[in-house]
Amino acid sequence: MIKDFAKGLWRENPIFVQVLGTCPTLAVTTKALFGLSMGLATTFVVISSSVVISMIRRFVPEQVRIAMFTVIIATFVTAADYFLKANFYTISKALGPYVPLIVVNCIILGRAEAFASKRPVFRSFLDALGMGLGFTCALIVLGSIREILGSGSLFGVRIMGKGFTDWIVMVLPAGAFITFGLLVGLFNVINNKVKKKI
Amino acid sequence: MIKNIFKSDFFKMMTALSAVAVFSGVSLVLIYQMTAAGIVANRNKESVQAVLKLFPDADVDRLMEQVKHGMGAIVPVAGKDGKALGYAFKASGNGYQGPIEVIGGLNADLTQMQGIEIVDSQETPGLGAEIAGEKFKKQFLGLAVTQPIEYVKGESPDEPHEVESITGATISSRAVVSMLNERIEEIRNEIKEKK
Repeated sequence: MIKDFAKGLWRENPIFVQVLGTCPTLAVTTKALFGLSMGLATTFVVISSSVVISMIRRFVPEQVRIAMFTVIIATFVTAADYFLKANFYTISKALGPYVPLIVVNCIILGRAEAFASKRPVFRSFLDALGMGLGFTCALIVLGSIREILGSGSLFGVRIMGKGFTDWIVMVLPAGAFITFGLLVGLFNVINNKVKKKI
Repeated sequence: MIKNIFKSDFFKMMTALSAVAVFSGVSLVLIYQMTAAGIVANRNKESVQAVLKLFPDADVDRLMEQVKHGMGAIVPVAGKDGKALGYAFKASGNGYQGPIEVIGGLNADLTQMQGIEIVDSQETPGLGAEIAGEKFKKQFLGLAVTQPIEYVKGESPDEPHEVESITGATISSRAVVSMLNERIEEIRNEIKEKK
C-alpha cells in the first residue's frame, strides 16, 4: 500500500525518472509559485480521474477505453481551469493555456492506463496522490532554481542582494532545459550511488 | 435477435460512452454555474483597476457598471463630480509570442493619451515583457495622438507623438504602437459620428 504512494515521489518520479509531462514542466516553471499551482492543479486532476476510472474499470469496454478516459480527464481539467479562473485569477493568467493542456499531460493518461484501470479505488488514489505530489515537488524545485537565478527571488520574495544581476536566460526556455537536464542528471547520479550501496 | 443486440460489443461501447458523456456534460454545467460569476467579476475588476491607474479620479462605481459586459466598446470615464475625464478603451493585437491586450486612456478632446496598462501579454521575459515596465508605459502619458504614434529606435524621442522602442524588442513595441493607432483611429471616427 505505502509503496503505491511512495514510488511516485522518488523511485518512479514522473518528471525525473519517467520524464513524462515535460511540456508544462518546462513552460510554467519560471517562478516557484507557478510550479506549485501547476503541480496542485495536475495533482487534483490525476487523483480525481484515477479514482473515477478505477471505480468504473469493470464497465469500460476495451475498445473505447482511451476515449472514455480522455473525456473524464478533460472534465476534471475544465473544473480545475474554471476554479483557478474564478479564485486565483492572476495565477490562472500566468499559467495561460497550460492549465487546459493538462488534458494531454501523459502522466494522467499514463496512470489511468497503467494503474487505475486495473486496480482497486484506494490503491489508485494512493498511486495518483504519490505521482501528483512527485510532479508538484519536481515543479517547485525547478521553479525555485529558475526564480532564484532568473529573478533573484523565491515565491515573489527578493532574496538576492542588490548586487545580483538576474540571469534572464533562466526565465527563458533555454534556462528550463538547462536546469531540467542538470536535475535529471543529478537524480541519476544519486540513484546510481544508492544502488551501488545496496 | 433483439437480445443479441443488447449483448453485442457495439451496444456496450455505446452505453459506456454515452454514460461518460452525460456524466461529463452534467458536471461541466454545474462547474460552470458555480464559477461563471466569479470569472466575469475577476475580469471586470482587472479592467476597472487598469482604468483607475490611467484615471485615478474616476468614479469607481460608475466604471464597475460600465465594464459589466466587458470592454468591447469605448468607455467614457467621468469623475465623481460627473466631469468628463476622457475615454478608456481596450486594444489588442499580436505581439512576438502571442496576443497582447492593452487598456489605454485618452483625454476628453482626444489629443493626448492618459497612458496605457498591459493586461495580457506573453512576451519574452526581460525583453518584450518590458512593454509592461514603467519605463515604456510612462512614455504614453501625455503622448500626442493628433497624428499616428511613431516609435524611434535607440534614441530619445524628440517629437510629441514619438515613443522610444525597447531595445531588443522592436516587434513587441511596434505591436503596441500599431494596435493603439488602429484603435484610436476607430475611436475618433466613432465619437465624431456620435457628434
